[in-house]
Amino acid sequence: MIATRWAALAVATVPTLVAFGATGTNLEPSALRLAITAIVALLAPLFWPGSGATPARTALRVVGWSLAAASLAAIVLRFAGGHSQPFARILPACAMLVLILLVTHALAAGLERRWRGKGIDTEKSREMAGRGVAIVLALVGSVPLWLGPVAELLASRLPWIVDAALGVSPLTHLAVASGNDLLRNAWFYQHANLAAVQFSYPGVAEITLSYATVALTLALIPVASRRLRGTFEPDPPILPTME
Amino acid sequence: MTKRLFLALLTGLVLATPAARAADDMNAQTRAKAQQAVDAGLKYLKSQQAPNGSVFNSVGLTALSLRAILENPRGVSDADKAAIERYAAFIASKANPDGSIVEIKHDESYNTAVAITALALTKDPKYAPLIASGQKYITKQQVGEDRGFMPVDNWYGGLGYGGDERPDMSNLYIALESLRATSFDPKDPVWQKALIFVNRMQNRSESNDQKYAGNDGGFLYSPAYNPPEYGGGTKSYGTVTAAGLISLLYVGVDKSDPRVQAAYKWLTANYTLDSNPGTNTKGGLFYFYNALAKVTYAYGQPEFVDGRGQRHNWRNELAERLILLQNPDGSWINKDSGLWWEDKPQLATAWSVIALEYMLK
Repeated sequence: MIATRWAALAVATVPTLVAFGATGTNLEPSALRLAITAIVALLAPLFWPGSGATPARTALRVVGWSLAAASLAAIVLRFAGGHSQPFARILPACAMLVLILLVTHALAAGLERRWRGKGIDTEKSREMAGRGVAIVLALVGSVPLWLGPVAELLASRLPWIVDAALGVSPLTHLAVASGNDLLRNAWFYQHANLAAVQFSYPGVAEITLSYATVALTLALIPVASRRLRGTFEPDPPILPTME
Repeated sequence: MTKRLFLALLTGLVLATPAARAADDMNAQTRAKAQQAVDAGLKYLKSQQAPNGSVFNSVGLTALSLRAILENPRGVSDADKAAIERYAAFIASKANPDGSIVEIKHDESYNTAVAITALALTKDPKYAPLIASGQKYITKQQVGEDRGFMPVDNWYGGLGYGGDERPDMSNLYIALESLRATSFDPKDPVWQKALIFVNRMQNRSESNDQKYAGNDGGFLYSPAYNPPEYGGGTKSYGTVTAAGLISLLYVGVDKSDPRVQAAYKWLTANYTLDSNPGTNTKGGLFYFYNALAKVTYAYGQPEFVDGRGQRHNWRNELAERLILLQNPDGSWINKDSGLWWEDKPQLATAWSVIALEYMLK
């Protein structure tokens, strides 16, 4: 099942890359790493294979699908980027992609479980969950774009706000791992407003720690939830059902 | 007693000579006020130094403050030496193994350039290895064959903020200035490569082979686009035209060259101190004042006639404008725009003091 979905993801990725101009000759190697990993990050949840029968199988799918999607990004980068994309540059970008996808797919699994619990059809729940997290990812990822003007206006009173707008965005995280100065790359410099104000990107260590914390929290929520309710369900969700 | 009086007169005469030369293009009253403004500005800058020697833990702000102190036409006082050492020590502490000198994960080229410029002004030989490493770092950032670009590519010869991002006229100008200030080999290919990029940033189709090239002689920011804060597009504007003109001179183009003449003509025809010329905004105004002061110094012509037929002495006018804008505490700030950190008095003051120092040279 994952192999079929992986093939579908690959088919969807290529024209999307072309549509976003990622095949242009004037794209810096770091910007290409950013573009490819970001596009795969957005598309992968749409092909989310769905939760497994047990929590362990669901966890396996979350990890497996995240790795599969990241490997697709690595392959595209190696072949699309040519010699300017050495393995040492591809690895950190794709490792960051895995972290983002682990959290994204864990959320998808949680949403799917919740909607299934509400009586929605299994297939529909899976699709809705994938689309839902893809939309959330797109919104959070583009925070520096759509929140940028507000952040700039408030920056004199709230000096941390620009860094916060950058720091929450998975796009920033991918840029940091790709070695791309996000706000100064050609596209962002022309279309976003934050390049001229004072800002700092988060460090790789901080980002990794944040994702690890979120992943751990997501993993622990079901356990805590079960203990609170004092029940031992045979098929506990990754996220609580909130019922 | 007579001997002392004679010595005092002689000293006064010697000290007055450069002032008399400068007075040719700057009136004595403005000159005296400009020096007072520099003194007050430097006092403000020194008050902003943190115990670790930095200004806001920023290499860029620290280096610009250090430069402002070291370029004081009055010279450096003994009282300043400890502060200077602490500024320089902080900058040196931010040197990275790759040769860059920067405390953050972006703007590496810019910070390294202003850092080595300031370190070179200390004339302290212990900073020579850092300056050499910084030069190497900066030249390595230049877009060229090692990054897969050929002279036909419009990024070729340019330099950006660092990493592999797009090059721009502003970063290249700061980099070239640092290479000159640190006596980088004038025969190195870096200069000629830079000239290729500089030519492509000028709106002058006779020397710019790109389709976007206009014909007013001014400069744009980056191949085929300007920052969105200035409305995008490819029209010429003040800060980069001043930067472009100085860069042409730095790479060895003669003042009489048509490219320099065209840039000079644009700057004088569009002359204003009320905004960043060509943008109708005050974003980057102090950067413009700073670059314009360097133009007046490098180009050397004290007076010109603007696009409306009015005669100007730009050294007098720029000095008077900066004096007018100075705050009571000696600082400057861009009250109308926070772009490029000019809402930080530490930056606007450093730009302004250095500008006044160029006019007093």
